[in-house]
Amino acid sequence: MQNIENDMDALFRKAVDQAPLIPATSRWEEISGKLSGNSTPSVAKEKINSFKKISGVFGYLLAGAITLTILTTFIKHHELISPDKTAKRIGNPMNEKALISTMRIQDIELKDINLFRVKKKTSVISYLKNENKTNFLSDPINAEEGKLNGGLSLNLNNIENINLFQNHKSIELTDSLNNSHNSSLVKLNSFHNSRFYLGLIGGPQLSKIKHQGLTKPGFDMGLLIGYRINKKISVETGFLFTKQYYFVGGKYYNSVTGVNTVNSMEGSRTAFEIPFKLNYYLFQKKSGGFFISAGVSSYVGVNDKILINVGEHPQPPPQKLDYGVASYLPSYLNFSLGYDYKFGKSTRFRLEPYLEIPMSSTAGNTININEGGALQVFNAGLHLVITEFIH
Amino acid sequence: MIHSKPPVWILENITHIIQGCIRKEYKYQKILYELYLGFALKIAFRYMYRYEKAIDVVHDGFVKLFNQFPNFHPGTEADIEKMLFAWLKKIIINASIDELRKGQMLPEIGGIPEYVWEITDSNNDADQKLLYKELFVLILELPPSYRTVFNLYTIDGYSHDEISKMLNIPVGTSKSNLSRARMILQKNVKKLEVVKLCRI
Repeated sequence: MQNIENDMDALFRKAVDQAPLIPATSRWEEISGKLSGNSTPSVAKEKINSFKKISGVFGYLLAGAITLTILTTFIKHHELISPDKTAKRIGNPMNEKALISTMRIQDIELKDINLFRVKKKTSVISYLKNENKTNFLSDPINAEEGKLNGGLSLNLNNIENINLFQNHKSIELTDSLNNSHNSSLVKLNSFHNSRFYLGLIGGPQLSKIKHQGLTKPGFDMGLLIGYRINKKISVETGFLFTKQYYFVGGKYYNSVTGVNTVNSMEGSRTAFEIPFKLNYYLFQKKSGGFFISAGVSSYVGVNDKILINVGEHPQPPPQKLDYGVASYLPSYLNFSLGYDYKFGKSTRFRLEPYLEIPMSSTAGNTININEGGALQVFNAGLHLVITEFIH
Repeated sequence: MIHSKPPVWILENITHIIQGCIRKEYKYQKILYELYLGFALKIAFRYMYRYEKAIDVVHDGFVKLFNQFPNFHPGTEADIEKMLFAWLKKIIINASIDELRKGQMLPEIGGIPEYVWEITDSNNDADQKLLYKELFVLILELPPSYRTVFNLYTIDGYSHDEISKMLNIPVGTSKSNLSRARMILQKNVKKLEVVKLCRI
């Protein structure tokens, strides 16, 4: 057996050496042109890759800058409507989540305020005058649990509402005649101040190339982390494992020579996705809120396996392909809309249909079909998300 | 092929040519290119299947070679050509593998055109050449992953460890690809013999 192999190897070595291949015509001009330009294809590729990497980094920086600008704008907006410097010292008392209760009180003088502390956090009381100008009644109150007596009396002429911003579950108001007003004890809803939330995300996904048919659905699943900038806007990122299936007709296999006996190609892809997106809540109710979102997604560690159906010809084993070079780039634009259902104090469940549109011919969103070129893959799916605010 | 005048490189000593290339002189670069074009093309074609693509690979390889020539340190005059051959071969093989990777090692469709072969009926050893050509084609017709391993191991003398690193595949895969390539070739050589007998 070994001898047969050796003989055969020797025969093929000789054949390779002696095969009467026609020498190619000299195309020295092409080479000299490249040399004089002092640029080789490999160097050019490296330049392109460097450019893509730099573009990717700038993409993320730009997204960060936009987020920061939005954040700053909102903070400034809140500062403009709060004339009292106290607001700054206590952080952000105008945070709408912290508005627990609005009490309508007319011609009543506050005498005592009873505080029932849940956690050791600062509190502040504000009131709204007729001219709709917010003022703060006191500096942050750092009182221990119990009564805070005497120190906060004022004339409430022309005051229509008192807004309470604090972490306390209840407050008791007493008027100047020492009578409890409105049955004195006002039960307040508990709330959370946390803006960060973690979540589990996953769901079915369909991938499509050109106007080819759909094949079986893939899926993705992973972790999500978000930050609620305000009541309407949040930013999110995450890390998801994704499995996609796609189908390509044989006509895309070899567009150069026109020689084509490929019937079709079936591909599967595994990758890790890193999304970065902005959610905007169009409206919110007690039970939940409806939102739209937009952002970019990067794919890393992309592996494609392609099975080629070539009719009568023997099928080669599927090849495992690696697009490691450009895989961290933002390669997709993400658009989605969804509904957030609230469960309990800080848990939410979300249904979110989405669409991923390839941004450009980067490796993260394309599949290379021999000489047919790089074909872009579109993705769409439904995300099921469960999130929990971090306390 | 009849030349109206002898190629320039015949008049030049290889050491001078190499030294000229190290100095990046176009004249010597062109001589070297024309001298080794056929050698390089035969290597690239073994890996690439498509003749036109092999030519592109060869040209890319030469550009790489000339750009890196200042780093070439020739040994003794006796070894200088051997070293250059080995270096060029390595560059062409690497360029071919890069190109195959770019094409995702997908199988090629369509036959090899006859015009790439130089076969004359009047030649005494035409039958011999025809046989070599057919054997060469058998290598080309292997699936790309098998062909690459077969070429690297059997023709170019790389070890399975080296192939594993070059192709980024496990050693076991390299061995199994070689074994499958040999099985396919054995089968096809037998078919070739049957066809030849039928012709007779």
